[in-house]
Amino acid sequence: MVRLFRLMAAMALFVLAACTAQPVARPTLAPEPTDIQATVAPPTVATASQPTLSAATDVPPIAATNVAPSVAAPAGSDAIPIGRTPEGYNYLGSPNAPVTIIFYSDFF
Amino acid sequence: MENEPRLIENYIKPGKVRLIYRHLLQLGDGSLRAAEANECAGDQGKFWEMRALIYQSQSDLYTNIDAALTKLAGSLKMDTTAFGQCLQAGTHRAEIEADYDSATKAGIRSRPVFDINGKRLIGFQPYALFRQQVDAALK
Repeated sequence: MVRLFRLMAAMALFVLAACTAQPVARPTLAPEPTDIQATVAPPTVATASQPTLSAATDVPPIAATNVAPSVAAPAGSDAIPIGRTPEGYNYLGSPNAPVTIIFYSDFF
Repeated sequence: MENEPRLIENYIKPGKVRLIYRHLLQLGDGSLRAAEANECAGDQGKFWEMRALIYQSQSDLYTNIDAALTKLAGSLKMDTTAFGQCLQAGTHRAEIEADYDSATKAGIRSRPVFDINGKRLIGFQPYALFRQQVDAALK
């Protein structure tokens, strides 16, 4: 009788140990949903920023593929219209602005 | 142009002024190559960002200028393959040279030069003078 009781107790402990082991394995699966979200996010950003350029141009020569604001952009240039004049010169600012500044310059 | 941030904030952003950039090539092959790179960046909608970056990185452009310019393009997340092809093919060279010829014929002999609704400012000028000229043109 005592041996039977000991055997049942041992089996109960074994079953209990097996049940508690399952939750430990789950965290290794957790990162997957996070990775999937990260790969989906960039197209949303690129799409959202395109209207800024397309609304601005006299001529639509620019492939507005990558319009996200960048570190090197002129201060405050976000959302400012850019494009090329019919003659092909690059401009910054509204095509309907009452004043035009033509800036002649060189590099180096 | 050191006055540019204030002009952008006070006049360009509110829609009062449009700034047009014209190329001068007074300093040789490096000027031309940088201008070409700037126009190739413009093809990808990054003209003004590239221009600012070229000014900031001029000391990096004295050796192997094409590689340095391509590196700048990459830092702006441009398509560097398309950028390199544009640069190698000289896609914008003729129009840049024509731009320079046209500026020379218009009497531009030094740099920088600013035409504010037809009124010319030559050389680097204080912001107060720009403000005065732009405000006068707005009246």
